[in-house]
Amino acid sequence: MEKSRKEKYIGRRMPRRDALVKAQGRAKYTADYRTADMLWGKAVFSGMAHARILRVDAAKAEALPGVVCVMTAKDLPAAKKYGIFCADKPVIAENMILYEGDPIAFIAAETKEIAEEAAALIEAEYEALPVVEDPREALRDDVPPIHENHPVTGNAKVMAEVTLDRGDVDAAFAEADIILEDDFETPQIEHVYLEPDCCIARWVDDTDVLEIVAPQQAVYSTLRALAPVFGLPESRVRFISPYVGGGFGGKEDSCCDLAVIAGLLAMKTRRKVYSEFTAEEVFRYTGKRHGSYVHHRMAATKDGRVIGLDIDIILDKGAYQSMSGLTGGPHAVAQRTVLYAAGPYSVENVRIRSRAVFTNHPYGAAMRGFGAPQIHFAGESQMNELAHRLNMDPVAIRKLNMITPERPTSFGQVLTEENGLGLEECMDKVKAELDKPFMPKHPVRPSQRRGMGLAAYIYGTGMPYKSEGAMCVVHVNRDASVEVGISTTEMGQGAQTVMAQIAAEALGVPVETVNVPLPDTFLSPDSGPTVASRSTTFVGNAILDACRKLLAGFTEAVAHGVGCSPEEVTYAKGVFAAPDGQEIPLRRAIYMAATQAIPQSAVGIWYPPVDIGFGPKGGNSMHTYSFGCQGIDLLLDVETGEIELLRSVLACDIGHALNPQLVEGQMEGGAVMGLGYALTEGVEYKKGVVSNDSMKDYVILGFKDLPQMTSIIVEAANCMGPFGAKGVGEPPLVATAPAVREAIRNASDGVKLNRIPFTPERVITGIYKAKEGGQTS
Amino acid sequence: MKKFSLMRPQTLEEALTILRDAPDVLPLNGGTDLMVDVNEGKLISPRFMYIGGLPELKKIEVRDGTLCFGGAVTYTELGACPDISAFPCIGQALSNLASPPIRNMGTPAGNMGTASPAGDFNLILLALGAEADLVSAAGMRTVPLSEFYLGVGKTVREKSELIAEIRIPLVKGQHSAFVKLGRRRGQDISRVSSAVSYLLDEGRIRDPRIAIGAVNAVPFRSGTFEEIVSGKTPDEAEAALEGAFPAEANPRRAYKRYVVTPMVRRAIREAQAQEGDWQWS
Ligand SMILES: Cc1cc2nc3c(=O)[nH]c(=O)nc-3n(C[C@H](O)[C@H](O)[C@H](O)COP(=O)(O)OP(=O)(O)OC[C@H]3O[C@@H](n4cnc5c(N)ncnc54)[C@H](O)[C@@H]3O)c2cc1C
Repeated sequence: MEKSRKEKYIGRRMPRRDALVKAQGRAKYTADYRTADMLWGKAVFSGMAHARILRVDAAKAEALPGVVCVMTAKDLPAAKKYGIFCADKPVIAENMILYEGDPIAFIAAETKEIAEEAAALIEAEYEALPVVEDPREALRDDVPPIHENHPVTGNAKVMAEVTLDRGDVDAAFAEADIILEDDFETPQIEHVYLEPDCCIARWVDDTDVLEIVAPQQAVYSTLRALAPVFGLPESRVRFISPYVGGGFGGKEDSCCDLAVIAGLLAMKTRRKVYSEFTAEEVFRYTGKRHGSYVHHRMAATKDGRVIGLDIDIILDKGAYQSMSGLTGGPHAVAQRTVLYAAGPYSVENVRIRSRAVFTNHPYGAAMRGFGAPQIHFAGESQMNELAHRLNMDPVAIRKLNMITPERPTSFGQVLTEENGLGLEECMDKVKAELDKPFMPKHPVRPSQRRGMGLAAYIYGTGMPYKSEGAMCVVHVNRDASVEVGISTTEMGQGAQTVMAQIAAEALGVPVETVNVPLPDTFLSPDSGPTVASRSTTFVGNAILDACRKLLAGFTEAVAHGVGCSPEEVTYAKGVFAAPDGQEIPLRRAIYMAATQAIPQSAVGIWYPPVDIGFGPKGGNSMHTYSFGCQGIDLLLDVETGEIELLRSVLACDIGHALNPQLVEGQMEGGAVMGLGYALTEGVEYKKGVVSNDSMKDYVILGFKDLPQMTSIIVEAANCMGPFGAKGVGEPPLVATAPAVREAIRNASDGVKLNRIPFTPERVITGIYKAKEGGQTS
Repeated sequence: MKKFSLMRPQTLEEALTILRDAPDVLPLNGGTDLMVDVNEGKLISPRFMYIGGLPELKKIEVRDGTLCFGGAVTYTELGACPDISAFPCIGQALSNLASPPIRNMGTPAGNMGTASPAGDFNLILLALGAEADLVSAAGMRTVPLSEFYLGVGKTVREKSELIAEIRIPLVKGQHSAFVKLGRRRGQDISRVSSAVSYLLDEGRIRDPRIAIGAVNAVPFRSGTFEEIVSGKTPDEAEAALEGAFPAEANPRRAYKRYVVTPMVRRAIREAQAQEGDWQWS
């Protein structure tokens, strides 16, 4: 957007403030805080995915010299289960193993080696139970429920069921010219953050406080989830999150899995304890993106209008609740799949049901996109199919159906230009870019066919809960330098940078003088979790609110000092101007405030004006939505199924790019992650036990695989966002997989692949099946 | 507990004596296969003998019309040797084999020792008609690579023997290529691979060698395909192979059936443009 703006820092490309220290190796991550006197805390696992525990005997392990303590389920001091939304995950399994990551004991030893030796000495007997891997199978009557006594759902197989039923779906299908019906499947995938989970805990003896340092995305969620496990009030547990080496949603939960180990062992031994998961353990024990099975029916008219949707979504919940949502609320991933089931289109008649079903897999957790990638794979694939059926341009058919101020969302929310509606521009720009001539730099084999495809998305900023809002404290020192107190994690996305830009802009101070400390529950106010593409918008607005309050106070101080009314005082670029021509620099104004009982700290708060009516009546679930379009250009080898990516063109409507450099970072990283989801990734199991538990076997894309990447920023301002911003963290990967599917379809004369990842094996099998006449999946 | 013991002989002779006296000792070269086995618990408390630094196994030289390199030469060392320009397929294989850190440690001899059906360098050695010297305290024998592999992880190497030297004949006018199907480029195990070499005699293929990997229990040469392509131009050869399936191949996974021949045809085509370039005297 080539608008001339009056802002000094907003909209500017500013390097990340953590970039230099990270490049120089000076940035400290949790493991860097280890010291020699720490005990090694280790959890012991059964190696099974479903079993009844008959006996656990720790006597030999306890007797091993160097072992300081061993805990089994009977040694737990307080709550025996935990979880972010509901406490259903055993701290230490007592009777049942429901997935591979259920620990049977914790060990604290003087060294890692002793801890490992002790782990091998734990004796346990199990009765192996049949492992349930497929949630569709789990629903069958002859398969017993996974949970016998779940704290929320009892012995139900479905953790969360969310439905949306609006209009008259049966009538729509009855009068439709075209009905498309198909099944789509996406796997569980791992976040593959580079920093494996780890944790340092210590009992602070002189203040009776448990202090825990760990990479976390949501220090206050961890605090609320775990204080009951330690049997302490939240005020006596201190969670600190240093720099985080990537989270992607996973470090909302996984930090809890580590903090219970180190925390309980530190309380019991009164020593410092360090605990970590190896990369392999992260693959095996921590949460995954929910796998999905979608049955999708679409009703349309012959001129390309989608008039009805009938969709049944089954999510692989894994063993515990985590982020699936609870029936009745708080809703989470299951709800988002419903919310985004119609995509960025206005469809009047919808019947959508999403169920998160327990299996013996690792728990389905939050992961970048939170349900949207799964449902967009089905929905956008179907939209492309409709375009093919009608011989329509994929952009034209989308424009015909998209949400406009006159055409509300499927759940009844009316979005106006004020909310930022940038989809059309995104699609036009992607199409224009894809239409530009582009030749691969190397010779193309005769068996390689070119194909292009695109897909669009919608993604809300923030969470549709009543408690969704942000709080912060902005404090101005006497020298006019600023501290921004928030609990937003810095995990590489640039939160510290953009928050400093916002505060500096609002207060008219140099950005270098703004400090944004890392989260610490003893010092930072609760600005909410670092999730849901919410931070810049929600926390940014809270910071603006605090800055406004501070300036109002200082203006009052100045007015009182010079003897005029506050309305007569103006403020710009660090200087207050009084009507008599006097200029009072901010520093003096702060001193004046300090002498007049006017605070130099302000609590800022922002809650979006949403009225969550999620149901037949409809309602506005999120205050704004990001839109975007992903274009893919690839070569498909029709003899081997290999895919060579040529171009990825991604346009994201993000309201306003407060720092385009950071936005592009999110867009490129997101597109790469989306391409991995489409082409290579997926957790594989043998009897519920993860079999591709390393970077060697779990294939994410490497630089050699990446196409030329174009990131197009579209700015349809969100009138409620700080300087017009909306979220960009997750959206960039939401539409990648269906765009890749479409490009493959076009390169292969119509081979339809409905199951990601599109490995060479799946692609070539699909091509041969299509040749033999049958359709594929 | 991931423990192993390690011996460090200083000379080849010392190493061979250790192997003679303790046949359970495993030669440890770059360790890029063995250490994975240790980490994954497939090897419990093994006894290793590090041979990666033995000076006798580190030589690379051209001798008697062959490129000779020792059993401890790494991929990176081999890649830096200018004489590999005679074998374009080697450059292709190296750039797609694992990653620079693994290539800094890993060795062709280790690829032979592991004898994985998917081992990339095994194919190169087969397609280039290499032979290897196996030495033990009792003596030395020379084995052509086509007779080296017996099964998954099984070779003709006795436990007392070391792969001391690998030799590849330098053939003027030889064309060669290596192709690999994986899920990503680099850092991935081959799903199907092929290496070929041939001479072009007035544009017609002579002395072809067609090696196929990751399909059978052992990497193998397809005599039937070699016969089909002999005497044809590369274009004719490619056409002749269309729809054919190598009689020697016995894939367990159905999709490999689809992709074997296309990979061989690709290798034949790529080899056409890749003639070895060397200072022939
Ligand atoms: C991340 C990763 C990626 C990889 N990617 C690839 C790939 O793309 N393609 C591929 O082919 N391989 C790949 N590999 C496997 C491995 O790197 C190769 O097989 C390599 O050639 C092994 O060589 P090494 O020297 O490390 O063997 P080692 O692990 O040291 O030894 C392997 C075996 O050979 C025996 N051995 C070694 N040297 C001798 C000798 N001189 N005499 C007798 N016996 C000997 C050892 O006793 C052992 O049984 C990969 C491995 C990793 C970890």
